[in-house]
Amino acid sequence: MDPQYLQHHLTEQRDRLYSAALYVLRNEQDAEDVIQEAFLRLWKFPGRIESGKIPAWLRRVVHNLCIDQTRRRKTQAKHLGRPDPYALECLAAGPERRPDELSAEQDELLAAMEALAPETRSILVMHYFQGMKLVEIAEVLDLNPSTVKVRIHRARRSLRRELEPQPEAFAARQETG
Amino acid sequence: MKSPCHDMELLLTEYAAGELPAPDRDTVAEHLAICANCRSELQRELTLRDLLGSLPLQQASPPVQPGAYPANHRTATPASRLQRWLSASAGIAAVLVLVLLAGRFSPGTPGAVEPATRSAAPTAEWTAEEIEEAQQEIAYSLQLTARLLKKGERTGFHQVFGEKLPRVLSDSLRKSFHTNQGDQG
Repeated sequence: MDPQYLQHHLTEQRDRLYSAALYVLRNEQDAEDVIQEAFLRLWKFPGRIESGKIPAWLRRVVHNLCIDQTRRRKTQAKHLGRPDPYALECLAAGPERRPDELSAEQDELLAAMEALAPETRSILVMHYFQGMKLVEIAEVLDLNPSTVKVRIHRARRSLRRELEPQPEAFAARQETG
Repeated sequence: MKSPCHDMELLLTEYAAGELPAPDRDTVAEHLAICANCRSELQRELTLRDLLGSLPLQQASPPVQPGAYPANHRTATPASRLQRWLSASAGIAAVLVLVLLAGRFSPGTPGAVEPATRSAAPTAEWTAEEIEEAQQEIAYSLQLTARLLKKGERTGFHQVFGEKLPRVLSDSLRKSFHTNQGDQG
């Protein structure tokens, strides 16, 4: 792989992928780990990935690593009573910092998204933040486009429940619907 | 049973993104004109699009340069974190041993041997000068050991043990932190 080409992708995509991982994971250190691992994999397998497919490949790897990281955190959270190096690192890093320049609405939305499955969170970030079309997401994740569509639709409904919990509004909708 | 609007709602994401082909787009537009619920759903879709689409780009740490990794490099995995934890634990254990020794020799601390009982203690043969020398040696060792801990490990150590840390160790950790900051600056 041409080092100059790789360097170009490193600088161009790193921040965008890091931001996507950060908005899925809501943890700076986890997002850093994910991006580091993704680019390390890219560097470890030169020639295996066609140059033109690197962006899609990176998005898929970051997506999968974010899911892995979320599951790992859940597993670690179950092991109460043991020295938890991850928890110590989090403690050492201080209280979880809100990424810069987020509005209160954005912060509230990202917090509500934590109730969604990591796969769905990642799809939302891919579409709305990274600007990927639904068919592109389906292609990158090897899913049927209808599946992506349904997941976004369900996510929107879940978010509505999280962000608009007023039973009156829901009842009114049921009556008129 | 599916709501009559269900099929339309499935198309709203593509509709709002402008990705919907003409026939479907017209169908959705016609439905929106007569359905208040779907218009509300479209509004939610637009809000979601606006909020997530305007999230700021965050900067990662300095980029990984090709060749920056040695062949046996591993990123921070749970296993490597565990190794780091174990190595930190070894350092912490060494510190604790020193703390116990420091407590034994430090006058005024709960574990210290009082002069009146010193005759029966193993330290009875130590002269005041030797004890002072040992205390200085321990304090110096503590400082060296504390400097081996990374910032995160030092902070984690503080948070785990809290106020139980003897003053001599707290001082060493604090001093080493300032020293390391000075080194970096």
